[in-house]
Amino acid sequence: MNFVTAWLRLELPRRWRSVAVLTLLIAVASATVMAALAGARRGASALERLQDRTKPATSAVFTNTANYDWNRIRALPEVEALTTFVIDYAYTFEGYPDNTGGFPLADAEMLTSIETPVVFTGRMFDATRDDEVVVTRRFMANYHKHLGDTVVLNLPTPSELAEQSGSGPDGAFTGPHLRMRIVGVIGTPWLSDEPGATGFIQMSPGVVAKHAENTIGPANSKNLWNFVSALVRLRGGEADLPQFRRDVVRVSEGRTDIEVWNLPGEWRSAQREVTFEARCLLAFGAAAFVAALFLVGQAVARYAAASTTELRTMRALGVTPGQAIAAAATGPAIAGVVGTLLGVASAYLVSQFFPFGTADLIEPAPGLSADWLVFAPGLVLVSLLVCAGAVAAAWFSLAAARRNRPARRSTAASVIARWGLPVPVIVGTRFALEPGRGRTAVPVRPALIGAVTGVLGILAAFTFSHGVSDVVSHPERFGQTHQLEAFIGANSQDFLPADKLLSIAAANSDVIGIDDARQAVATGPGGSVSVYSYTGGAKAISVVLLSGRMPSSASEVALAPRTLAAQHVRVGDQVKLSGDKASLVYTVTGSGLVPEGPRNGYADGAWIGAAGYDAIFKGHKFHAILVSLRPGANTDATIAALAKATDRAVPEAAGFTFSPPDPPIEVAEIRTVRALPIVLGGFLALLAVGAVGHVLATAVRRRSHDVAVLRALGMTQWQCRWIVLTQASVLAVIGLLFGVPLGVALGRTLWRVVADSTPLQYVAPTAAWTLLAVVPAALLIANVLAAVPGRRAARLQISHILRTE
Amino acid sequence: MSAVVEPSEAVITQVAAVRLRGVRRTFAAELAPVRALRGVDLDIADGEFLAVMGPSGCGKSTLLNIIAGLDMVDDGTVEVAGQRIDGRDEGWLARFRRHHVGIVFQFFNLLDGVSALDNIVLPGVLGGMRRKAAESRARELLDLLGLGDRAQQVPAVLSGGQRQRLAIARALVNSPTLLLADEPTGALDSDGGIEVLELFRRLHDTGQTIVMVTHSQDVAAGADRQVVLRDGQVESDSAGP
Repeated sequence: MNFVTAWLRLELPRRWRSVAVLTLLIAVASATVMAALAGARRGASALERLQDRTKPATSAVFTNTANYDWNRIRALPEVEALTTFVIDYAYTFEGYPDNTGGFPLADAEMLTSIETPVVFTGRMFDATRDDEVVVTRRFMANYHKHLGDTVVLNLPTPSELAEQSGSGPDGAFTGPHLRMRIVGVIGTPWLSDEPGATGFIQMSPGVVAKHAENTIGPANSKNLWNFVSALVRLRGGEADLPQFRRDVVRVSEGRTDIEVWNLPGEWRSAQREVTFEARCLLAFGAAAFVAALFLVGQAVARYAAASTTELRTMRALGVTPGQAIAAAATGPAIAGVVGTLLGVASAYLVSQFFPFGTADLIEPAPGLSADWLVFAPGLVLVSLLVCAGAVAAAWFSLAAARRNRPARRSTAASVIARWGLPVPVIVGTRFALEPGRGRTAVPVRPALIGAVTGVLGILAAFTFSHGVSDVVSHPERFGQTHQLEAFIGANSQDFLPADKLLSIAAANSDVIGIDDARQAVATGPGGSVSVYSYTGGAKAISVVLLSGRMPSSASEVALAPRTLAAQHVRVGDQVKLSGDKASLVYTVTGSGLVPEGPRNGYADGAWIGAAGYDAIFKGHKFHAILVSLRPGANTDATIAALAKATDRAVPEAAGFTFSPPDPPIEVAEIRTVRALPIVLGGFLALLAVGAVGHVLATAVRRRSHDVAVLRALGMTQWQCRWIVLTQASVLAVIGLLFGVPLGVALGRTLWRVVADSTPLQYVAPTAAWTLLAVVPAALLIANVLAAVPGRRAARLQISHILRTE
Repeated sequence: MSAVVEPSEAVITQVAAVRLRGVRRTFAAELAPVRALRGVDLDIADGEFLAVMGPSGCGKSTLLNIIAGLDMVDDGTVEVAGQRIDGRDEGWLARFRRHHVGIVFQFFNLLDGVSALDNIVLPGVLGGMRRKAAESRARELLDLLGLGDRAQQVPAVLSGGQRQRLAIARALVNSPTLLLADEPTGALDSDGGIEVLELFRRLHDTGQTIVMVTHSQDVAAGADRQVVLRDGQVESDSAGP
C-alpha cells in the first residue's frame, strides 16, 4: 500500500482535473440511473400505497333511479361501509370549466369510513357546512390557488335542475350562489385527478344537506338525471363482489339493470397504466445504465490505461503487477466512491419530480423521497463497478503490453480496398472497422454498437412516438369512430323524437354513418355489461373490431375486450346476458371497441343488433345518436347544418345540436408517456455521439503513427481529414444499415405491446420524417464529430512522430 | 515562388538531385532554442549514394526531414529533383513526395494492421497508379526483395530485416528520384544490417540516388560519399574540396 499511496500523492496533484471530470461523470450517470429506478419503483407502488392509506371502495353502485333506499344495501352482511353521492352535472363553479366539481356528497361517510383521504395540506372540510371545499393538487397547481382562497358555487333552481340547463344569462344557473373556502388539498383513489384534467373541487356534504332541492331535486319529483348512487366497501374485498351482485339484485326486487362496478378491476387498469409508465422509466434507467457503462467505462479505462503506461517504467524498477494495477485503479476508485455519493445525493434531490404521469396524480406522498432499496445497492454496485472496471482496464493494458498478437482484420475493409477507392477512403474504412493492436489499438466495436444503438434508439423512439401522435389525433383508434353525438333520452324516455333526428342526420351529405345507440346494462356471468344497440344497414357506423365480426342476428353479440375477459369467454363462445326484460344466450361473434358512455369505457361493453337488444331490454338507460362524417368534412359546418335542419323539421327540438364526443381518457394517459421514448431515444443518441466521438478522437491519437507514415508517403492534409471523415461516415452508415430496420421494428413492437395492453386499434406507425431525416442527420453528426479529430490528423507533427516511433 | 505551381512528376536530369544552400532550422525548447541546422550547404548528384554521419543531436535527421519535405527550413533554399521545395505548402510537399521521395525509417513505420502487399499498394495508389498496376508493381518489388511469399502477412509476423526490406519496397513503389533512409540498419541485427546495405548497393547500381543517415562507420563505408555533421554544420565531406 505504501507504493500505492506514494503513487497517488504524485498522481492526484497532476491529474486532479481528470479525477474531477471522472467523478462528475460518475455522479451524473449514477444519479440518472438511480433517480430513474427509484422513480419507477415509486410510481409503480403509488396506487397500492394510496389504497393502503385510504380504505378504498370496492364497488360503485348505480341504480339510476330516484329515491332508492340505500339502507337495503347498507344492511347486507358483506358491506363494511357505504356512502352516497349525487350524479349531478347541473352546477358550476364560477370561472372554472363545467367538470371542475366532483359529484356532491350525500352523506359524511365518504372521507371518514370509506375513501378516507390523504390530506396533503390543510384539513378536511366540516361535513355540516356548505361553505367549505377541498381540492386536488392538480387544481391548486393549475389555478395557482392557496388555502383560504374562495370559489363560488352556482346551484340550479329546482326547475333548472329538472331541465339540466340554466335560465340566466348565457345559460347560467340562478339558484343559490355559495362562496366557499378552500380548506385542504386531498386525494383518494376515487377522488383523484385524471390524466389531462385540470383538477377538481370537492364540496362538503353540507351542500346537499342544506340545498337538497338544488342538487337531488325536490322530494318525490320525477327526477331523470340527478340520482343518488353509492360507493361500497366490501369486507372481503373483490372476492365478495359476486355475492354482492346477487344480493343487490335480491334486495332490489330482482332488478338486473343496476350497475355494480368492480372498482379493484378499475384500479387494475390504472395500475396497468402506472406500471407501463414505471416500465418506461425503468427502460430509461436501463438505457442510461448502458450508456453510463460505455461513456464512464471508456473514461475509466482511458484513465487507468494512461496510468499503466507510466507504471510500466516503474515495473522495471521492481513494482509488482499487483501494485501497478492497484496504483492505476485507485484514482478511478476514489472517483467512483465520491461520484456515487454525489449521485445518491442528486438522485434524492430530483426525487421531488417523481413519479410522473398518472402515478403523479395518485402519489400519496409527493416531494422528496429517499429510496434506500435503490440508493444503498446503487452506492455499492456503482463503486464496485468503477473499481472493477479500473482494475480490468489496468490489467488488460499491462497484459496487452506483454502480448504481441496480430491485429484482427476486417473482411469488409479488405474488400473495399480491392474496389480501387481513394486511399483515404480505404484507410478510413480500416480505421472504422479494424481495432488495431498494442498501443495503436482502438476499440471499434463499442463505436459500432453505439452508432447502431443511437440510430436504433432514435428510430424506435420516433416510431413509437408516431404511434402516440396517431392515437392522440385519431379517436377512432379507441373505437370512437363517430365524430358527433347527441343524447336524446334517459331511463327509457326520449325527450326528442329519435326517428326524425335520425332522418335529418341521414339526409346530410357529410354523414356517412349513423347509429341509433340505445344503451342498457345487462348482467352476465362476469358482472355488469353496458350493451349498445347496433344499427346496421347502408349507413352503419364503422366499428373497430380487434377480432371476429359484428353480430348479424338477434342471438349474436360482439364484446369489448375487457368485457370479453371479465365474462371469461372467447370469440365463438356463448354467453348468457340478462336484461330487465329477459335473458338470452348469445354467440360471441367478435371483439370490438364500443362508444364511451356515462358508465362505460370504450373497452367495456357490448354491441348487439337492434332485435337482439329488444329481446332482453324493455327500454334504455341512455339513448344517443352517433354520427360519423366523411373524411375531410367540416365538423362545425355539419353541426350547424344539422342544427338548422332540426330547427326547421322538429320545432320542439329548437336549440338542439350534435356535439363532438370527449376524447377517451386513455388519450391523455398515453400522452403522459409520449416524452419518455423521445428522452430515451435522445439518451441513446447521446450514447452514439459519445461512442463515435470517442473512437474518432482516440483513433487519431493512437493511430497518429499510421497517419504520419501516410503523410510521409505523400498523403495531403486534406486527405488526412478525409480519413477521419470516412471513418465517421462508415460508422454512421453501419449505424443506419442496422439501426434503421431494427429501430422501426423495435418501435412497432413496443407500440404493438401498448396497443394490445391499452387496448386500442393497432396501426403500424411509420415515422416518415424521421426516416427521411435520419440518414442525412446521422452522416452530418458523424462528420461534425470528425471535424476536430480530422483537423488534428491533418496537423500532426509527422517528423516528430516518426522520429519518436 | 507561387504556391499554385504543381510539383512536376518529371525527373529533371542533368542537375543535382539535391541542392541545399544556407539551410537553417531551429526548434523551440523549454530551456533554450535548439539550433538543429546552422547554415548547411550541400549538393547531392543524381545517382549518388551518400551517407550522412555525426553524433546524436547533430542535425542528421532534421536534414533528412527537410530534404523529404517533412520539415520546413527557417532560412535557406532546398532544391530536390530540380524543384524548389522550401516555402511550399503541406499539400504541395505531399504531392511532391509521392513521386520524388521514398523514405526508409529506422523503426520501419509500416502500417500495422495491413498486409505486406497492401503496405506497398497503398502508396502506389496514392501516387496515382490503378490498384491492379500498384499490386503488380508491389509483387514485383516483393519478389525483388525476397518477400514474395510474405505478401499476405502483416508486418508484425515478419523479422526485423524483412520489415526493413518491406519498408524499402514501399519506398520504391513510385520509383522515386531520391531514396532517403534514416538509420535503416539501426533496429536490425548485424545480418539484417548487411542484408539491407546489400540491397542499397544493388539499388545504387541501378542508378538510384540514396541519402542515408547513420551512426555507424561500417554502414557509412558502403556509401560512395560520407558527409559528417556536427552542431548543425557540415564538418567534413569526403567528396568535398
